Amino acid sequence: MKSLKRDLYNRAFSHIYVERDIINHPNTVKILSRFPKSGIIEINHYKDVFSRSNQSFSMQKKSPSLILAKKNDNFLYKGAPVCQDFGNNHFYYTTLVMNCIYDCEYCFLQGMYSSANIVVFVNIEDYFEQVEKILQNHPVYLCLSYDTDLLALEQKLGFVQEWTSFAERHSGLTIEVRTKSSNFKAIENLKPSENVILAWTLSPETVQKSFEHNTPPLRQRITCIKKAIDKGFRVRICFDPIIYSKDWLSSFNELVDITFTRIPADRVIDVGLGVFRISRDYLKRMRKNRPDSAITQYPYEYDNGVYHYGRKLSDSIISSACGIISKYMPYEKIYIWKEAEG
Amino acid sequence: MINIFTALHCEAKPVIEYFGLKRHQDINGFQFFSNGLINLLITGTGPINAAIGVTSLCSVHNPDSGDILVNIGICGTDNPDLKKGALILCNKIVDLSTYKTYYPDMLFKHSFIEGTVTTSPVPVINKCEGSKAESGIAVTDMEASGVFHSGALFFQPHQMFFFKIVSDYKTGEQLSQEKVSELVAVNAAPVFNWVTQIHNRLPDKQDIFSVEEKSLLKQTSEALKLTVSMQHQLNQVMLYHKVQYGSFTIELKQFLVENLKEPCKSKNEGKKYFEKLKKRFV
Ligand code: SF4
Repeated sequence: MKSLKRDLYNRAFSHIYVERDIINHPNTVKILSRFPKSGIIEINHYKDVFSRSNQSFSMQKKSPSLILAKKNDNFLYKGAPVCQDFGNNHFYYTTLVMNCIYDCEYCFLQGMYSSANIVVFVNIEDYFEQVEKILQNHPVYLCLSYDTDLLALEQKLGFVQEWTSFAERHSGLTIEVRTKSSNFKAIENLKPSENVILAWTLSPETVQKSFEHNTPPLRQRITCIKKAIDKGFRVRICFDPIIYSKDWLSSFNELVDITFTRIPADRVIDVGLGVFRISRDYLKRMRKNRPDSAITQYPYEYDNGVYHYGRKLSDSIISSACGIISKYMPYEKIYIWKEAEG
Repeated sequence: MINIFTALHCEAKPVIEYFGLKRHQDINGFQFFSNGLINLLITGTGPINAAIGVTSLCSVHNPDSGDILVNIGICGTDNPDLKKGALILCNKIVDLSTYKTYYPDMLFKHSFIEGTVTTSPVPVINKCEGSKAESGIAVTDMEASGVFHSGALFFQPHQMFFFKIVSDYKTGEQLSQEKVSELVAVNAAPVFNWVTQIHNRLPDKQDIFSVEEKSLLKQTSEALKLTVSMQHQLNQVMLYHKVQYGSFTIELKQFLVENLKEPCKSKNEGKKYFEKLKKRFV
């Protein structure tokens, strides 16, 4: 097989597509100023680039472009029953950015989107307005980093900072920023607050090395978590998704031990836990995009539109993982992702 | 395979010479040149001819993921900073008759000037509305949108490259065929060195199983009396094993020798061994 060397590719974001309507938006101007060497291409609508037919997700991932756009509707989505809501009644998520700078082989985004380019919606003020409207009726728990890793992009976008100051002014709002980033610099100037949760996803070293491409190593993430806790941030740890392999148990054991010997468990607000599962349509695309991945090619069991490791195996993984975590965390602080019934 | 499309023979001539292409039988009336690795088709002028030309060639020589499309030809511009002979790699194509825009992916490093090409169905003289609306480097041609429109049926956006060479300033100036060939000839080496480098490294489409693997899988499913859906499962199990551990043939042969000296007598018996096989290979 002919192989493509990395030096053949443009660096990430060498090209930035900008919707004509938001070319002078303050966030556009700010973001573009952080990419002085990138070529700018004006577009009418982000979908003209993002939703082209027959794109190669895996090729674009080698040199992703940035697309700056305006979101016109659907600023918030009500969490589906299958979402892990950590006991919150008014669980919402939002799409500020579509796609991610990391490249995890199990990521559902490669099954969801036809493009690996990263879309950033710059009109953050419209999201704020929508949240304020809902807050008039009830509190809101909002997951910000759903279709991306927002913290990993913080030095280019500054969105986490804008949202934390917004949350500070709105006590009914709790925001969760899920991340694999280890870049403490991105948050060191943020003010920790009661209604901001930083949620780190941790995976065994072998999983990180083999399947979570471009992500920071486990130990760096743990160091960053420790610094965040010391600074006063509320931190959640997510062991999700657990990827099965013949030796998953020993690597998971090691992961939990490393985590909680470095991070005081009593200063972590809770732990999320889940086994890898993926919708049929997403897996179909993922297999096409990544035919040589042990994650996409695992012979999963199928029911109700979802591929999974099989009830028996999934249950046994969860119960073993729970047992391991419970050495450090009380059971009531362990939230398990449950599959939807029916 | 690199598939090159030009509108005119005088644009094609330097490319034919550069690669040593030989004339082959016309395809749907389009002049066609090839050396087995490089194809070139002369589409005639205008986006409709270009679209039909691309479809004609690609229907006969169906491209795959390791192949490339190149559209090269002359263009006009309003931009006096672009000298005659300047080479533009297009990152955006605007069709002047539909105002549809097309975007080739820009994944590969290069040292060309990038810009927008506006495709008009008729020659553009003087200021043209479409190109005026484009900021930055903008040129006008008569084929790019047609080539992209049809090319997208056969190629992914990162496999298509559009090169335009400035030949006039839309003043109605008539260029001789020799002059056009000269402008393309000067740019042939930089364009095709770069394109060839990408082509050499673009991954070809590969079969997931080799011939030997396929025949072993067939033998296994016959020995186990597998249903069609179980055959799919077997393929998936073995594909996983191959991806995870590099190969499955030796181990599967061994499994067959150890467990199935004779083929299973019933589907039920086959099912039992299939469960055993899954446990061993997953
Ligand atoms: S960090 Fe999350 S969003 Fe980013 S690629 Fe990995 S799984 Fe996907």
